[in-house]
Order: sequence, then structure tokens, then C-alpha cells
Amino acid sequence: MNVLLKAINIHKYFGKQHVLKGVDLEVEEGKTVVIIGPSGSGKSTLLRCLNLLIKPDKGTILFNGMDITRGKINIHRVRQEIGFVFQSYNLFTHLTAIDNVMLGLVKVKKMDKSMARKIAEEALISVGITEDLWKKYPAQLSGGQQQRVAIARAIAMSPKLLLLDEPTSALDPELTVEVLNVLEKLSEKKMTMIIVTHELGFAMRVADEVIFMEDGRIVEKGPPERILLAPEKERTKIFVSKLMELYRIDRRYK
Amino acid sequence: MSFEEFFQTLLLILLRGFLNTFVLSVGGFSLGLFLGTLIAFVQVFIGGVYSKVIDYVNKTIRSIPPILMLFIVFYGLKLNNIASAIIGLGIISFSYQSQIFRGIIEAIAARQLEAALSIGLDRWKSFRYIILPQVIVLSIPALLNEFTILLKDSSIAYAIGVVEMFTVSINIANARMEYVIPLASVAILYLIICYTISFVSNLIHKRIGSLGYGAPL
Repeated sequence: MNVLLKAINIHKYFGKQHVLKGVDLEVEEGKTVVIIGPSGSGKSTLLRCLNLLIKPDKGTILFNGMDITRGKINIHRVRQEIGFVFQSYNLFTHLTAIDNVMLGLVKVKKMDKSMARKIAEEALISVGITEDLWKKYPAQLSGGQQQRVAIARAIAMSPKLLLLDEPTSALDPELTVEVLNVLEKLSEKKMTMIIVTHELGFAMRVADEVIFMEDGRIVEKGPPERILLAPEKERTKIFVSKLMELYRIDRRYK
Repeated sequence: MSFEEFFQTLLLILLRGFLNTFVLSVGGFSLGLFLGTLIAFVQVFIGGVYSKVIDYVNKTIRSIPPILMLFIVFYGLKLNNIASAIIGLGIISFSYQSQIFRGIIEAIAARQLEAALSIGLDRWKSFRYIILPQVIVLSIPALLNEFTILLKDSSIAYAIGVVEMFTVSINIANARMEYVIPLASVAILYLIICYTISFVSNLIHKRIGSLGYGAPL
């Protein structure tokens, strides 16, 4: 399999705080990687380093074989091929749903409007946003709808890689399901994705690999069955068992 | 005090004084707008030492009574009184307007900029298509509010002899040796103008709210 993204020894400091302490990561084309870990472990920072929204202080990132951490690369070009979905959606507040999706196509990819509109419509339909919602502003949409528009905005650019930073953490359970279903479909279509999430059921079903991070380091990684059900490291065991406890339905409550 | 007399005084003040009041407030506001936007963007997007220096300048300006500011410009720069008033009011207004812009930019910029960059827009396009349009719309109500404050402040140009609405009313009062009607008339004129502007401002505010702009105003 072709390695799409390879990060080698990534370090990041915020002032004196050492947030990433030498992270190595390899993602093959078409795979879905889920990152779990306690808050403050550097998951979001790592994700932002991968498309250089945050510049790593040390380390190399190879995207599609190209070193994007070297000076001469046009990072805006690279970002066109790496979609990003934020925890708080970050839709453009002053634009309608469809304009949110079209903006990148028109202003970045220089498509003509009718072509862009067609692609935007397809992207919106693929995430289950129906025509009656296209002309609505973000504030008129539910959280789940906003997040799906945000996913449409990212995939309309036909990226090679999609990064998702806790895409369902701001959503209530019903809306979470909406969004996870969309992601599951994307995974089936072999979109390469790195997802920070604590939805263990989703990780179990969809992930090809689960990575457990703590304190700026990768503690353990492997197939979901192993990391989630039979982790080797003590720290992973504790974290996973806590998550399991959180999501358990006990017979006592019947 | 007949209604007719009252109305005549009102009209007289309007005819003789409104133009200069208008010139002072619009001139001062425009100067403030130009400097304010410029400075706010420097503070947010360049920051560092510039931002600190500008903060101190702003604080200093806001600590000076408006009338003193006008005197400083008038006697310091030795310009004619209308130009001095416009510049003085412009400097005062700039210190407030830059804070309005800065607040709004900071409220929306981080997240919106991140999203804009993530789809491959460069910094200039992110600013042009994402940040700027939102800043303009969001700042309108606060700017209109600032404009009404400046419009009232323009009355202190009386002190350097600009014949605007307040000066006219004082002149009429002095000539007639009667203060109630001229002062009440000019008060009502200020009231009507300011009330209309804040009414419009509220309408816009509500409209923006219904569009769901989340930034605090």
C-alpha cells in the first residue's frame, strides 16, 4: 500500500510547554486512523501540525512523498489536498451552506461558478444535506447539520487526506450519529482519514488503526480490537477502561 | 413661548448650524474610521511591540478631555478652526473605533482564519473573503453608536469658534437674552438625530442577530 502521510519525530513547543515530544505517524492511502487520548495529550496539536496550521518546531512531514516541512513548498497548495474538520465546525458565518462549500472551489481552485455549484451540491447531498438547507446560514442549522456542511466543505475540494478534530464532541447523541454515519460512509469509500474521537464503537467498526496518545507521545498503536479490547500498556488499559465505563449500559438500570 | 417661536428657532439653528455639525462629525468619524481600521488590523495581525505602543497611545488619547484635545490641535497645529475640530474629533474617535474593530476581529479571527486557511486560501484571500466581510457587518451597530457620541462631542467646537448647531443656539440666546427656547431647540435637534441613528443601529443589530453572527457587540 502507498504511504500517503508520514510524520517523523514531530516536536512542538508552546512557549516553554513541550506539547509534542517526538511523534511518529504513518498513514496508508485509504485507511482510517483514530487517535484517542486524554485532553491535553497533544492530539489536536498533532492534527494541526499535519496540515501546518501549526508549524512543528522539529520533525519532518512527508505528504504524498513530498516534504511539506521544507521551506520552499507552497503550503496553501498542500492544504487544498488536506481537508480539515473542526470540533466547533467553524463554518463561515456570513455565507450560506452552499456558499461555504463553493468558496474554496471558486476562490482556490478557480472553478467557474456553475461547475463549483454542481460539485458543492453533490458534496452536500453526499453528507445528507438536502436542498431546502442549502440557502440557510450556519446559525439557522443544527449542530449536526453544520458539522455535515463542514465535512462537505472539506470533501468538495477532493482532498487526498481528511483530518477531523473531535468532529462530534460538540454534538448531542442523536446528531453525533448523523455525523458518524457520514464518516463511516467516507471510510467505506476509502477516503484516507485521521480522526480524533472518543466514540469507541465507531472506532471499533471503522478504524484500521487506533492510536493512543498521552503527554505528547504515542503510547500504543494497533488495530482497534487490540488497542480497545486488549491493550498492552498499563496506561492505555486505564484510559480505555474508563471510556468503556462511561459508555456501558448496566443491567441494573433496566 | 409660542410653538411658532420655538419652531422658528429650531429651523434657524438647523439652517445655520447643521452643515458644520455634519461636516465635523462626518469628517471626524471618517478620519477615525480610516485610522481605526488600519490600527486595529496592525494590532491584531502584526501585534507585538506595535500593539503595546498603540495601546498606550489609545489610553493617553482617551484620558484627555475632548475639549483639551481640540485646543491642543487648534493652538498646536495652528490650523483653521474647522480643520482643527475635525482632526481633534478624528483622533478621539479613532481611539474608540480601533477598539471596536479590534474586539470584533479578535472575536471572529482565530477560528474563521483557521477554517479559511484549511481549505487552501492564502492569508490575503482569507482576510478579503472571510474576515473583512464579517468585520464590516458586525461593526456597523457599534460604529453608528460611536457616531452619535461623536456628533454630540462636536458641540465642543464651540470653544474654538466653529459655528455649528450649539454655537448658533448660544449666539441666538445671547442676542435675545433668552436661553430656554434656543437651548431646548438645539437639545431637541440632537435628540432627533441621535434617536434616529440609534433606531437604525438597533434594526441592523437585530438583523445581524437573525443572521446568526455570534460575535459579541
